[in-house]
Amino acid sequence: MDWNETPDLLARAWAEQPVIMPGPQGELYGIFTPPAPEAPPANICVILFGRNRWWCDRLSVKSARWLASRGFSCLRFDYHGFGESAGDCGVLHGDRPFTKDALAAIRYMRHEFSQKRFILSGFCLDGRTALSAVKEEGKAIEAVVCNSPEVTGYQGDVVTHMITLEKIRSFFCGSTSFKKDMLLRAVRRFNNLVKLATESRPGEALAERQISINFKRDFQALVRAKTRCLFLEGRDDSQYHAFQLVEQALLTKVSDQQRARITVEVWPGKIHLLENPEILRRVAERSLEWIDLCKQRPVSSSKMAILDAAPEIKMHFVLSEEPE
Amino acid sequence: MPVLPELLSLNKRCTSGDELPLFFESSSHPLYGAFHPAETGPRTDRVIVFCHSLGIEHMVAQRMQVLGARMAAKAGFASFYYDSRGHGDSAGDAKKLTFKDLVDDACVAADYARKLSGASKIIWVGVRFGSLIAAAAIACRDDSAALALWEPLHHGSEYFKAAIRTTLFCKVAQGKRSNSSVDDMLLRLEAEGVLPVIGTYLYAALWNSAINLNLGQLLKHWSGETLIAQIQLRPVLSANNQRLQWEIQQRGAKTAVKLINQEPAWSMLPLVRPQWTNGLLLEATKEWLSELA
Repeated sequence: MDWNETPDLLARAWAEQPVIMPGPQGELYGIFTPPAPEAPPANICVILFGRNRWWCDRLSVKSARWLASRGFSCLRFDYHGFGESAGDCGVLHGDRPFTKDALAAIRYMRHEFSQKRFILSGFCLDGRTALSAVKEEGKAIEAVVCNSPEVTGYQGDVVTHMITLEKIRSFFCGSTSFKKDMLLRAVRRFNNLVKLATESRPGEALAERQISINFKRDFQALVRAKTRCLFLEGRDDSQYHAFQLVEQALLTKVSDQQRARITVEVWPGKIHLLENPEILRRVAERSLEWIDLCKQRPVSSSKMAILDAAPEIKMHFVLSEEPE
Repeated sequence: MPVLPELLSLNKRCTSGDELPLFFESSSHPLYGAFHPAETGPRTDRVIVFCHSLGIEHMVAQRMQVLGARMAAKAGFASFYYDSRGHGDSAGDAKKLTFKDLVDDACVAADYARKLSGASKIIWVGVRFGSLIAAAAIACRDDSAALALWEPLHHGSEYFKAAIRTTLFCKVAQGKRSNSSVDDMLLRLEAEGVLPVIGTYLYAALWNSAINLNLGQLLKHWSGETLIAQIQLRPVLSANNQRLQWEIQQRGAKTAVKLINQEPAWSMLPLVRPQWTNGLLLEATKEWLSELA
């Protein structure tokens, strides 16, 4: 995908409108990108979550204009405490998404712009924000893109990846301060696991308990709402090591029909590399491609097309196909 | 370009109190901006214009600009902040951007701010690289009343070097060794035209046009009231800031200095914590504004 500005994308920029939405902690500021009049209407509003609303490399800005050129309406906005929005957001936590802000945005788009169908998209905490909106607005949400989310309620690797060869190597090759930092982290993680082991979560083994209650609740809402979802993961990310618990404990318990609505793509290497804009662009490209396919195959269709995988991942997983 | 009454009636969805987010035109591109009229005891002869830094630094400092504009409006000063081409919500391709483009956008923003506010004079606030932009804009205009510099960069190359240093540091923090130095990476930027850094890219067009910029040189004719807000973990003014203060004072201008004992991670993505804010800087700027002649 060419991320340079084309005349079409410039035209979408000219059509953009600032919006100020009522939020739970004051006003939320955003930008609405209307669909290109010459494109077949998708009749879907895509909300791109990010911190701040531009996201890294201005990917949300460029994505909104690209989607609009293909007939989607788009909204990007600042959460409370970010950018121009009111309020204070305090410390961020991967298991505490900005659910109320997301719901406020959906309701505003519905009320002020007559939007009826939505696709929500985000990376990491922003993906969790997208997912968390399904519980209350599932009927209106066509699909969710949830890239590399945190699924545990605590920082650090899951039990199966607490000690790895790479970490041992890094530890011995690292400086003294690096070693001290690693040891402190290991102690904190061990404490977290002890807390989990002593929590009362009947019917769940320790492995499953590492999945946060919040994530489980939102995942179950996703399944009930019959909303499509793309989870994009990097095989070597700690986030995927935790997501494997979801694959083992949650995805195995859904029916084939429910499973067909959930796409899990696992790319080789890492994608949770916020310092690497090239990876972030590739992730954004894949998300946009998947969202665009949702327009072509609305959920009301009885058969969902097999999504075209990126070439480098074709060998690594089986695509979900909705049964006939 | 529409003026304030037209803008207010155009779209009722985008006003908050009197605050007005909007788009305006510069070099055939829509730029995003937000106008804050003075709330009390309006000083209609001056309007504040914020010039932002670049890339991830813009993301880091954006909220402070917003809070700064709101603070100034409450203190009786109309203010305006905007995103340059290729930044924030504005249109434009960062790949082709030059320093001259940034200065042109600043001047268009200033003209627009004057039109919206009815002011005849500009108070510039330059944030990091934005200090160089504000200084260059001042040099080509005759309506500048005052200048506030928030952690100014004194040389154009500093932004690029800081972004590269942070990228290399991240690699080391991950336990990886880097085989390249900052100078190696700059050579790569010049050779390839683009260089990925934390969360964004550096482009040769801007590097080539900014490499020789010198804040002192750009301000060599400036003799207006100036605030130098140094935001560093340093108890005294840096050599560069001292020299700048002295040079401006030599021309008979009043300068104020504020030392903010903090060092935000300018080139790091503000993702695991909220965007940087500092109440002391807002207070110091407000105090300086209230003392302006």
